[in-house]
Amino acid sequence: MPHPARRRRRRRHPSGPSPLRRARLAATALALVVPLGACTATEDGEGSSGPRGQRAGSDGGERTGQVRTTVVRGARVGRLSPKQHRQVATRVAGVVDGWWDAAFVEADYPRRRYQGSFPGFTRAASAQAWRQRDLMTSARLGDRINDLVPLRRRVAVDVLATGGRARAVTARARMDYRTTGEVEKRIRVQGRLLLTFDRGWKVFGFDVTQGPWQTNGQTKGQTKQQAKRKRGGR
Amino acid sequence: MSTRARSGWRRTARAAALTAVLATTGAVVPDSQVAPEESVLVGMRHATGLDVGRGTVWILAVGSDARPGQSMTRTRGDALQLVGIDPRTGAAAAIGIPRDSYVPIPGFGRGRVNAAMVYGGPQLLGRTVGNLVGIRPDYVFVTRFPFFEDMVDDIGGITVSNPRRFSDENLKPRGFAAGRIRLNGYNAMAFARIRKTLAGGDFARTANQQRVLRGIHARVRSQSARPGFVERGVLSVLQHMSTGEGPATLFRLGQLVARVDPGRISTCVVPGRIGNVGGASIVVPNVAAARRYGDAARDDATLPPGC
Repeated sequence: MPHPARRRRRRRHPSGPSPLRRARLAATALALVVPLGACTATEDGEGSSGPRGQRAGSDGGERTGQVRTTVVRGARVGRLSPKQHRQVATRVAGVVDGWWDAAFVEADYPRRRYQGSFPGFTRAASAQAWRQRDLMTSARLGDRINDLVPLRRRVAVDVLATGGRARAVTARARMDYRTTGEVEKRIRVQGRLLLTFDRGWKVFGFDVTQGPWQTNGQTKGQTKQQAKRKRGGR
Repeated sequence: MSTRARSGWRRTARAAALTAVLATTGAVVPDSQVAPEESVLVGMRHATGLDVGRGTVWILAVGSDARPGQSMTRTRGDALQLVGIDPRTGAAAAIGIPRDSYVPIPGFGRGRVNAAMVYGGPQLLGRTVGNLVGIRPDYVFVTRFPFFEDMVDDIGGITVSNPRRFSDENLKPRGFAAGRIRLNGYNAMAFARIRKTLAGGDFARTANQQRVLRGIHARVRSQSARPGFVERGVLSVLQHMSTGEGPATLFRLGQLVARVDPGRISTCVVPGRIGNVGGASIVVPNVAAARRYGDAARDDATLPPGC
């Protein structure tokens, strides 16, 4: 059986394509986005990723990068069909994307204003998130960067269902982004969002961290080889 | 000298030289100099939030002694714990009420507090306890022993700190050892029920119930980040408890329990004296103390130390 990570399909476009390629990509993306909607994968394999998180650059509309959110079906507790789980996961991922876009991605940098960063949050949760906006938005760096480019976005959705309907979910979310400008960093935002359904999925709770994310640019294979050499198994 | 011996000698010489260099460096470099960075410990800050309504949430947890075939919500409540959680601080307070406390029951004169559920279900029990402590619970959760056992098993058992060894010839002939002990569902039930062999009787049993609650909380907190754990816990509660609340509310409360800070849990048992009414043994509760606890914890779920 192939490794789950290999079986999961993820679509991601590299940032900074040429103008011609950019136009082709935009056309292809349009063609793909409409029929695909947002698909999901399970943590044990099957499925694909959903299109979200397209962004415009800070230079007034130039598309400098696109990244799609990988939507994963997590734990399913209670009676719910895989199809329903997929639908719920897609909708919940949409709420998470809404937060990421408003708080990080869909903005012109340098940025100082963060009002409206928490669409899809309950009023009280939004107020709590606002008080901790240094971790819940890009506010710590916003006025010292010229651009913020998402690199990876992933949402896994655990569902509690009763009577064949989803009642509450935990969205385990992770987004990596890089910044340019005075501060050039790779940052990871990750944590859990808790949602219940009340005229749409609403975030009522969260536990989120945000901090530098270091990579050495090596592939998994290279890292494995290095580890093997360290163990003396040349 | 063979190649292997030469190589060994070189290694020894290198090690000796390195030791000398390090020793010299240690002696020469003053402490105030910055040491080279070899490892870094960075504390990750978390943004946390939970919308569960305004202020402290109060829950009356009731262990019903309903036997098979009896209605769980119309029999006596054997274990009574009024639990408050402040979502803003993660503080939690548990006020234990001895089940034989003789108190006014609204509309039914005076009686043992646990009889209130027989007369008027969980709502009347909530009002009766509320009048005693001065805090009206927001929720009343009722379970019975076999269901309680299942719930503890569903979360994988608990660990409690037992201050003294005790046993019971029917429920636990081999007894519970003193110290930190692991309990499965049945043992958690027995630990919370045994009364006759405890020196403090009903008061000591109520304190043991609070130890079980701490154990449940510790287990929930330690496992809450596991995908699906809280969801499974909520499903177990739905299957085993009478709450009158929907799964979404229970999910919110489950998350609230998971956020309680173990260092900010305080517990008290309402004190009293043993009395007698019509030949039956009762507890005459110290109402002033009960109100004092309620006043102290009402807003911030924090009880005075040593109560």
